[in-house]
Amino acid sequence: MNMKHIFKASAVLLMLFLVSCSEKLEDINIDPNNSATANEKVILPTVLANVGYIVDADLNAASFLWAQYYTWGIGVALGNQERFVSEPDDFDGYWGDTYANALIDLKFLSKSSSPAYRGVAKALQAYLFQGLTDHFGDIPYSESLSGEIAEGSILAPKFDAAATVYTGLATLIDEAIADLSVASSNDIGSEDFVYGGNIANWLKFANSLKLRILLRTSEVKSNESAIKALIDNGVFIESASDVAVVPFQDKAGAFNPMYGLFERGVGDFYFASNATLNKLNELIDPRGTAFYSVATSGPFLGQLRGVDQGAVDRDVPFTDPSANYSGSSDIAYGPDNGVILISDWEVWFLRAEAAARYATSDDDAAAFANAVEHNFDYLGVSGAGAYIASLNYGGSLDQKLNTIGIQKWISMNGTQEDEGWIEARRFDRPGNRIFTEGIFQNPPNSVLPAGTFPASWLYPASERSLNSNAPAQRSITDRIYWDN
Amino acid sequence: MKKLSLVLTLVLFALGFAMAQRTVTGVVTDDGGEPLIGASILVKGTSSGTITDVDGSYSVSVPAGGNTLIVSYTGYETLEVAIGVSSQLDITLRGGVVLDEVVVTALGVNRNARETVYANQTVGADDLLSVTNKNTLEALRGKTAGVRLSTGSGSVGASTRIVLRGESSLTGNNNALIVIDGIPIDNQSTAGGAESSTAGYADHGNRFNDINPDDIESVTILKGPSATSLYGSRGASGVVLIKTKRGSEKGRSMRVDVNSSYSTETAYILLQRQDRFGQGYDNSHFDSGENWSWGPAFDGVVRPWTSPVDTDGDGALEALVRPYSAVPNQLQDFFNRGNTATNSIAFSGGSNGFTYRLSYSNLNQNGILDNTYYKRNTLAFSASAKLSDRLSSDFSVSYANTNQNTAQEGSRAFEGNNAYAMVVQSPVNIPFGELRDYTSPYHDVNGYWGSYSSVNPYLILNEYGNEGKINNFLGNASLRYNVAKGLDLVGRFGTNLVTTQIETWTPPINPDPQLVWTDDLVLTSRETKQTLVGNYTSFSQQNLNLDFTAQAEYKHNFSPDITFDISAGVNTFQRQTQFLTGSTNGGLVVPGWYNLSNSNLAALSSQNLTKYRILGVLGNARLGYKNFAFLEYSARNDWSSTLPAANNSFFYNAVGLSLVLTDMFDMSNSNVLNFAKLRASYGTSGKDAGLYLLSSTYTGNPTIAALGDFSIFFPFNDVPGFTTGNAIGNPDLKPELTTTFEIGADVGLFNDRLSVAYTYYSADHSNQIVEISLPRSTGFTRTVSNIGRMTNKGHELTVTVKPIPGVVRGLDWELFATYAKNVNRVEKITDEISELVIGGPFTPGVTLVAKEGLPFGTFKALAPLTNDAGQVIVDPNTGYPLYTSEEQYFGSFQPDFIAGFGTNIGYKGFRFNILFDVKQGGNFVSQSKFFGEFNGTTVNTTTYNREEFVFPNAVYENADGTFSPNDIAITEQGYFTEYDLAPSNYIIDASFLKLREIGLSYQLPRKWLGQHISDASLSVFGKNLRFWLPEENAYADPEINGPALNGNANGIETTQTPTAKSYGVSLKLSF
Repeated sequence: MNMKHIFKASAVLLMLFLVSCSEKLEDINIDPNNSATANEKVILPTVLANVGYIVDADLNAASFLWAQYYTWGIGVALGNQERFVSEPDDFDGYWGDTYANALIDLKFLSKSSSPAYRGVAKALQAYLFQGLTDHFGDIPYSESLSGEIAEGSILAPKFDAAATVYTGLATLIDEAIADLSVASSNDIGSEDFVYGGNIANWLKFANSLKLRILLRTSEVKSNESAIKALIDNGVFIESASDVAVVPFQDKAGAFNPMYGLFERGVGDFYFASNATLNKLNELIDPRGTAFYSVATSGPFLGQLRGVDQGAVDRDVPFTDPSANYSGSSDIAYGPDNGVILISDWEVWFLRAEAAARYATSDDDAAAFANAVEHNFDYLGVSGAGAYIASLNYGGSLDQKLNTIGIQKWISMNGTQEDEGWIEARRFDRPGNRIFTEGIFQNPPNSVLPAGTFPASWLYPASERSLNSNAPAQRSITDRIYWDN
Repeated sequence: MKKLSLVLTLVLFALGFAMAQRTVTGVVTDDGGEPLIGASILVKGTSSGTITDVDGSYSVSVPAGGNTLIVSYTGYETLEVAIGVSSQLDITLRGGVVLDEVVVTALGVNRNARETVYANQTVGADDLLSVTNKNTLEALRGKTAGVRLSTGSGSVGASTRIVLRGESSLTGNNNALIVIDGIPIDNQSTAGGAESSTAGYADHGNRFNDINPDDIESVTILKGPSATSLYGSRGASGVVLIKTKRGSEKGRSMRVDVNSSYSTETAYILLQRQDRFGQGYDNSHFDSGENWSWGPAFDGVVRPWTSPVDTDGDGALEALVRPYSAVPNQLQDFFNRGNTATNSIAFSGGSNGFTYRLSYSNLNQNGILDNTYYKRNTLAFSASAKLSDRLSSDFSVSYANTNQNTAQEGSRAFEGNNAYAMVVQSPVNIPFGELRDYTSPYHDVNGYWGSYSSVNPYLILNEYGNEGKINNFLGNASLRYNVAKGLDLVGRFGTNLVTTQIETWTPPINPDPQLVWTDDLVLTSRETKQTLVGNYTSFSQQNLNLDFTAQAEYKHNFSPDITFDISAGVNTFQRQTQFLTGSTNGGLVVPGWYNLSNSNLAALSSQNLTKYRILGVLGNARLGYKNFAFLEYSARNDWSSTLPAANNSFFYNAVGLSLVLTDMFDMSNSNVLNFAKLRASYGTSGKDAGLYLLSSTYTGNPTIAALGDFSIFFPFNDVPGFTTGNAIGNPDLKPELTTTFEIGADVGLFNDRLSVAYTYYSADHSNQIVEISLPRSTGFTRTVSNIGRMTNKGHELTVTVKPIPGVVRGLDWELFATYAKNVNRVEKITDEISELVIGGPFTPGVTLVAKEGLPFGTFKALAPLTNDAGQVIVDPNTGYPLYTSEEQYFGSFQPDFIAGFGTNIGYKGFRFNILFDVKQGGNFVSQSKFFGEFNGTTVNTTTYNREEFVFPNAVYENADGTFSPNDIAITEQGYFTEYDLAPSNYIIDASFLKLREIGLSYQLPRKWLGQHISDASLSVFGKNLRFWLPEENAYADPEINGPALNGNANGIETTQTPTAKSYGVSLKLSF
C-alpha cells in the first residue's frame, strides 16, 4: 500500500466523520416517543377516565371502611384502616392521581378557546379540588399546577386554608357555569363519554356541584342567599338520565376501577358491616339485599349476615367459607359498573336539605321523598313509598337533618361511598352525633380512644417530603374546616 | 527508635547484605519445577551477568557491592533475588505475570506501570481465571480495591452492577463504563417480567455477560480523573478497560488452547425457619390451605396435606398424607442441583508481522431453579497485521448468542409470577420437593394444597415463561500509520450491535373451588385460588453503538533524559436503541400457544426509539525526565446531543505527576525500600444529561392504572387519549462536573517481598443533573435541574506479601489483601429540596433517599416510638408499639468498607488459591423477614413459644404524660399479623464475610506431556463456600439485593433466588 492509498482511505474516514456530524446535535434530542402537542379532543377522554378511577379506586374503595358500609371480615388479618392506623404513604396515590394526572390535564383544557371545554374543565376542577379539601383540609390551590416554566416554575406550591379553597371553589364553579352558558353544543363530541358532549347536562352537573359546594359549609358558614338564588335559577341533575357517570366495561383495558383494583389483588374480601346492617334492620329498610349479597351457604343461607366493624369474627371457625357471609352486591361491585360522580338522589338530598335549612323554593319533604325514591329506583328495589312514609320525615330542623343525614348515608352505599363518609362527618353535628354516638361501631382493635373516629386523611408522604411548604403532619382525628 | 533500628538491622542481616566478591551458582526453574534454559542473570548495579545452560544452571561472579541478582526470562516475571550467605541460590520464576508491568491506559495506550500518574489496578488472566466464572466481573470480587459489585439475583444469567469509588451521580447512571479493546460497549441490563420489585421482574443480565472470560487478557480499573477524562462523559463513573487476547508471533506457529470445566451448584440457603408450628392459626386451628404457620404445634400425627380431589374418577376424594411436622431442608429441597459445563477452544499464532486468534466457547448452565437455563455460544476472531514498515492494522470481531430461561424475582408471591417467593411464603410443613410433579392430580391447579391465589411454584417455573434470546456483535478495527519518525496516525472504529428478544408468558388458570382440611379433618370449600386469563408479551430491542476515533500521536526525546509525547484526536460516539413490545390483551384464546395472534382482543403494542450522539476533541501530553519523573496533562471537549444547544459544549482536563523516588534519589541499592513511587493528580470530568429532558411533552394513549390483567388504558371505550407528560422539561441544563484529587504511593519493600499501593482520593460531583421528584401538587412528578452536589472521599490499599521467596525451592507463596473505604455524602440538592427519593417505597414502607448530609441511598422508614429512656412506647389500647410520627433515617446501602484477602501458593506445579471478601456495614431491607414474620415461619416468631407475652422494655403513656411499665399481654400471631411492625424492623445489617473461592490446580510436568502438548493443568475449585453474616441477618444474602439492573435502588431484598454454592473441575490444555 502506498501513500496515495492511505491518503484516500484517510479522506474517506474523515468524510464519514464529517457527514456524521452534519446532523444538528439538538435535532437528535427531539423525543420521538412523545408528542410535542395535544388538543382538547384527546385530552378530555383521558381526564374522564382518570376522574372515574380517582373517585372509585382512590376514594370509594378506601372510604367504604370508615363509612362503615364494609369491614374486613372472617379469616383475614386486620388491616391498618380497621384499627384507624394510617400511614402517610397510604394517600400518595389519590393525591398524585388527582394533581398530576387529572388536574394538570384539566388545566390544559381550561385554557381552551372553546367555552365548552373551558366550562367542563372548570367544573371538573372544582369537583376534584373539593374532594381534596374534603379529605385533607388545607391544600395547594392557588399556586398548584404551576410547575411549568411558563407558569412560573412554582415547584413548592403553598397550602391554602380550606376556607380559602372553598371561596375559590365557589368562584371557579361560577366561571364554569358562565362558560357553559355560552358554550356551543357542537364543540365536544363523542369523546365525552360522560354526557356525549351534551352541554345542557354539563350545566346541570355544574349547578348540582355548586349546590354541593355551597351546602358543605352549612355548619360553619351559611351560603343561604347564594343557595336560594341557585335553586331559583339553576337546572340540576334531577333524573336517572342526567346522572354524571363515567362508564366502564367488562373488558380488558376498561374494567371498573374498584373491580380491577381488587381483582388484581386477592379479590373483594370485604364483608357487610353490622354498623350498616343494624341500621337497615332497625329501619326495616328493604335495600339491604341491593347493597349486599346474601349468604349462599351456612347457617344464614339466603339471609344477610355481616361482621362487626373491625372485628375478626373468631366466634365462628376461621375457615368458614366467605359464602356464609354477605359480601358486596353486583350493584356495588362489578366489572362493568359505571362510576357515579353526582347522582340524582344526591342532588335531591341536597335540595331537601337546602329547603329545610333555608326555605328555598323547593318543598323539602317532597325533595326528600324524591331522593329516597330515586335511590330505590336505581337499586331496583320496590316499596319506596311505604318506606318513606315509615320514616316520618318532619319535626324540628335537627330532626329533619338527622333523617336526611342517615338516609343520605344509606343511599350512598355501594355507589358513592366516599361522599357517604364525607356527609356522615358533616351530619354528625354537635348535639346530634348521629353517627359517632349512634350508628358507628367502635372497632375492638382501634388505636383511637373509644368513640373517636377518623375525620380526615393524613397529608401524603410524598408531598410532605417533596414540598417544603407542606404543613406539619396532622392526626386523622383532626376535623376539616366545615366539620364541627 | 533504637529498638527499631536494631530490629531493622537484624532483619536486613537475615535477608542478606553486602558480601565480598564471590561466585554464586544455582538452578533457575519455572514454577512447575522445570529448568529454564537461557534465562538471563544479572548482578544488579554491575555489568556482571550470564545465562542459564540446558539444565537451567548458572554460575555468576558477583563483584563487591553486588547484592542482588536480576533474573529474567521471556514470558516470566523478572525477579530480583537477594544474594544470601550461601553461594548456592536456586531461583523459581513465575510465568505469565510481568513484574515491571505494562498497563493499559486510556484509549488503549500501553504504558509502563511506573509512568502512570493515577491509581490503576490490572488483573491478569491468571487471576481472573483462578476459578471458573461465567462472567469476568464476578471474578474481580475481592481482587481489586474500590470495586463494588452487586447482583440482582442468584438465578441464571443475572446482571452485575459495578460501581467504582462509590456512587457519583444522584440520579444518573453510576455503573462504570466498560471498554473492550478501546471501544465502549453497551452494558445495559435487560429486564423482563412485570419489571417491578414486588410484582416481579426477570433479570436477563447485562451485556458484559456475553463476553467469554477465556478471551480476556486483562482487566484494568481506571478510577482517577486523568484516567477517565479521556473517555469523556461516558467515563465519568470510572472505566473498566478490558484487553482481549491476541495471537503471538512467538513460540509455535499455531497454539491451541482448550479449556473445559464442569461445576455443580446448590442453593446457599440463609433464611432460617422455625420448626415447631405448622399450618393454621391461633396456635390451635389446622387448615391445609393456609399459608400461615400460626397453627398447632407439631405432633407428628399423620394428616392429609393436599387438597382432597377425585384423582381416579371413582367419586371418592383422595389426598396425600404425611406426619404433621416440619420438613427438614425444606427450602433446600425446593431447588435442584444446578450444573454448568463450559468448553472453549482458541487457535492463535502469527508470523511475518501477522497474528491471529480465533476462539469459540460454549457455556451450558442449568440453574438451581427448575427449568431455568443459560446457554451461551461465543465466537471471536482477532487479527493484527503489519502491512508495511509504517502501516499496521488490528481487527477483531466477536459474536455471542445467549439463550436463557430464567425465573421472575420479587416478593409478591400471590399475584406475581415468583416461584421462590411462593415457597418462602408457605408454612414449614409443606414438602416442596414432592411438588415437582405439578401435573399430578395431587399437585396440579386443583390439587395443590394452597389457597389464597397461590400456585404450585413448579407450575410457575415450568409453565410460565421468561425466555431471553440475545445476540451480541462487537466489531473493532484500527489502523496505525507511521507518518514520520515519532509521528503516528491512528484510526479506530468500533461497533456494538445487541439484539434482544424477550418473551414472557403466563398460562390461563381456571381452578375449581378448593376443598381444604380444617380441624378434626372437617372439609370446607374456598374459592380463592389464582385465576389467570393468560398473557403473552414479546419484547424486541436493538441497540447499536458506533464509536470512531482518529488520533495523531507524536513522540520526541529532547535529550536522553527528557522524553515527550503528545496525542490529539477526535472521537464520535453514537447510540441508537429501539424496542417494540407486543402483548396479548384480554387473555389467550387457545391455552398453551404463545403468540400475539392468540389474543382475545386486539393485541397491544408499544414502541420506544432513542438516539444519542457525542462528539469530542481530545488531547494528551506527557513529559518524562530521566525515567523517574512524569508529568501528564489531558484535556477533552465534548459536544453532546442531550444538552441544550447553548450549553452543549463542555471542556475538562486533568494533570498528574508521578515520581519514582527510589530512582530519583538512587536508592535502588537499598534492600529495604527497593521501589517507591509517589503520584498525584487533579482533574475534572464532565457528564451530559439523559435523553430528552429539555422539553415537556404529551403522552399518547396512556395507561390510567397498571393493574395487570385489569389495567385501564387508552384507547378507552375505543376513544384515543393523550395526557400531559409527567416531566417538566428544562431547556437550561448544563453538564455535570466532577473534580477529583488523588494522591498515592506504590512502594516495594524488602525486594518486593512486601508491596503496597495506597491511594487517597477526594471527588466532588457538582452541578449534578438531578432528576427531582416534584410534589404532585405542581401537576408533575419530576423535572431535571443542575443543582445537586455529592462528594466521595476514600482510601484504597492493596498489599502483597511474598514472605519467603526462594527459601524453599519451587515454593512461591503470596499473600494479598485489598481494602477500600469510601465516604459518600450528599452535600446539596436544592435550596427548596433537601431530599430526593431514589426508589420505593418498597414493602413494607421503606424508601431509599438521597438526603443532604447523609450518604446516597439512605433508608427512610417509620420506627417504633421510644421515650427519653429508650423504652418503646406502646399503645395503651392494644399493647403494640407506637410509631414515630415522622419517618427516620437508617443508614444507607453503602458499606463502610470492602476488602478482600487471600493467598496463592505455588509449589512444583501445584497451585492453591483461597480468597475471602468482606463487606462491612451498609444496610438492606429484607422482604424475606417481612413475609416470614407475617407467615409465622421465621425463628423469631417463636421467641415466646407462641404464648402471650408483654412487649419487653416498654411503657405506655398515661393521660398526665407519665409512663407506666407495659403490662399489656399480646400474642406473637397478633404482633406479627394484626399489627404492622414499624418498617424500620426490616432494615438489617448487610455486612458479610465470604469464603469466595478455593482453587487447587496441578500443572502437569512437561515430560509427561509428549511433544504435542505444551501445557496441561487440572484444577478443582469451589465458590461461595461459606458465608458469615451478622446475627441479626437470618434471612438473606445481602449481596443479592437488587433490583439493581439499571437503576440506583440497591439494598432491596425481595426473596430473590439465592446465591449458588458451586464445586467444579477444569482442565486446560495447550497444544
